[in-house]
Amino acid sequence: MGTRYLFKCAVSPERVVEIQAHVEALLEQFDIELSNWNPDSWVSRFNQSESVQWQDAPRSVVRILEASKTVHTLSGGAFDVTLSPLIDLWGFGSKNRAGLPDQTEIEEQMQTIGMDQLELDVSGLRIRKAHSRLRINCSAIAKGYAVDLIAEYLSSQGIERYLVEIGGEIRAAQPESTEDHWTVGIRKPRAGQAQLQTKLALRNGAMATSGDYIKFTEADGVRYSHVIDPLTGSPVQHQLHSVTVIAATCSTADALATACLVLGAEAGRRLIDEIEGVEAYFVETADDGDIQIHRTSDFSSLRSWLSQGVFKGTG
Amino acid sequence: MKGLRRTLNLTMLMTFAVMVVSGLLAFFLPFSIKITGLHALMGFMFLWMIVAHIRNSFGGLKRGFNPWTLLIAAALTGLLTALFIWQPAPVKAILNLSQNKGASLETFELKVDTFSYLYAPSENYQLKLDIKFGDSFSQASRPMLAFWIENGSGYHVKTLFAPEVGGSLPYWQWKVAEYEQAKRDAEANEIEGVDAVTSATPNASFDPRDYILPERNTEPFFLVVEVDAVGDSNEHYADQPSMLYRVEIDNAYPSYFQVLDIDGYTKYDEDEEIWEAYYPDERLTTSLSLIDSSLLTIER
Repeated sequence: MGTRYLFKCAVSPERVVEIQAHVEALLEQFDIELSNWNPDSWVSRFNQSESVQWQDAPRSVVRILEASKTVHTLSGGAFDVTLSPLIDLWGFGSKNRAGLPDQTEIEEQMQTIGMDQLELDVSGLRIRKAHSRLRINCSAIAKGYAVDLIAEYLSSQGIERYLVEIGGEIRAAQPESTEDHWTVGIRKPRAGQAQLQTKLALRNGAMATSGDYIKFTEADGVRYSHVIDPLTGSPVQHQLHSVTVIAATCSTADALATACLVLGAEAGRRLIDEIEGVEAYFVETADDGDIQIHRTSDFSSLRSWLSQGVFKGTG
Repeated sequence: MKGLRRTLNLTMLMTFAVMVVSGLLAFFLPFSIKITGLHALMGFMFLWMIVAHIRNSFGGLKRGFNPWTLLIAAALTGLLTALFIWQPAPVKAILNLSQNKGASLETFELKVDTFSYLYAPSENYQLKLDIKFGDSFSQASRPMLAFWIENGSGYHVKTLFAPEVGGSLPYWQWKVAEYEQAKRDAEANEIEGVDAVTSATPNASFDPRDYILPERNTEPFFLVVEVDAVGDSNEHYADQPSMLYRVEIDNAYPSYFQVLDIDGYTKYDEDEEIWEAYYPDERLTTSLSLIDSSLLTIER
């Protein structure tokens, strides 16, 4: 997956090796199925294929695309896993480009994207693309989904107390019978610094962050975020640097964080407020250059969870 | 004769002490040719001392020799060797303390108008950078040069070449400082008393081979060159900013030859508190011709 992982759980030392081996096998399988970097993965082969017929797909791909479609609908199209042509066009993908694309190029590539161009047969585990040039890139949700996979595996092994982190996406659990919590930090969104913006207590739930502070490009003195707005085909221009979302599952949190980063702080807050059991924390630069924090309506209580020790997710 | 024997014994003791210290340093610190070279040199010295010692003290050694002592010494040596090969958990834990990621063959060759650098992090991988200096490069003015590897997220991963003092290469210095900070944070994962940190995708590894070698990485990474001539004034600048050149290396789509493109001139963004590359404009003159061309050759 091209990133590091961490998991902490309370098990006997004899089980550690067995659990670690299984987690690594899960991640390896995940890479074989979902990686866009691995040319032999199922997703890479699907992208290379020009077929518009139904194609059998691994369960992980179908589940991720199903979750992606849900967040796509909830966010009014702000979350989209078919953006690869635009990502490449702007030089944020595997190939750099000199200069910025013009409007004609953008409009041409806009014809090749769209979640509505992707058909799912969830029960039959099949996928079909509406036109041969459609490509998918699940990186905005994949790490969250991988965290969920590991969390589900740990739960299935009877482990009640765990914390899983992959590339900054987190899912945690604590037994209902205890008052314990995990303490998690939100990174300060400023390139070159790795300090904490704030700390929170997490008992049962997931947390994911999307930010424009690690990947961006610059041309003619203007900085362009690597976050592409699917509705305009261009990088977002607002001053929102980081969104952290708390939800029951990490894939949901991961996808919603990306959607909010596209929408901006105000629209993002409205989106999150409409979804039950989900909260978010936004960091943006105000007009006067100061860092401004926005929280969804129930997020303010998160800080106090640290002392009271409770955030109870639903899953 | 007695004086010679004492001198020999004392030299042996000191040589052995240097070997032990340099061996431990080689184990705990990242690979250094100086430390490894010192250790090897002392090893040769020590061998020679043993031969001299045996010759000097053969009679005494012969008297003290018996089959049992030979057997015990051989068994102990054999046991230690077997433990190293078998590597049970406690031995592995000790070996894992090493920061030595292995020898990397690095060679430099500086000529009047060219600079060649060779980096071979594994037997099957060799990266060669040939820089041809341009018209405004002169050895007399001692332009500064640094080049390094960046991962796909723009993080400095490994400096391949840099001057002792990088005062006029601010971009490289800033990148290294950022890397060192990220490394410290990653090492202290439970920073400020937290169990985990949520963030946009951070650096995955701090071992450069994880980004460079095809068997470990199929994601693109970058080679970046920064060059600056100190005091190269023109009508717009008292000292023109340093220039950046960059090339993307993609093991998934291997190329044997690649040319570095100009990335821009360096400038500090005070609002963002970061160094960035800006596309060159007409205010830059001689700094644009410090480097004529840069060719990257990779054998995989």
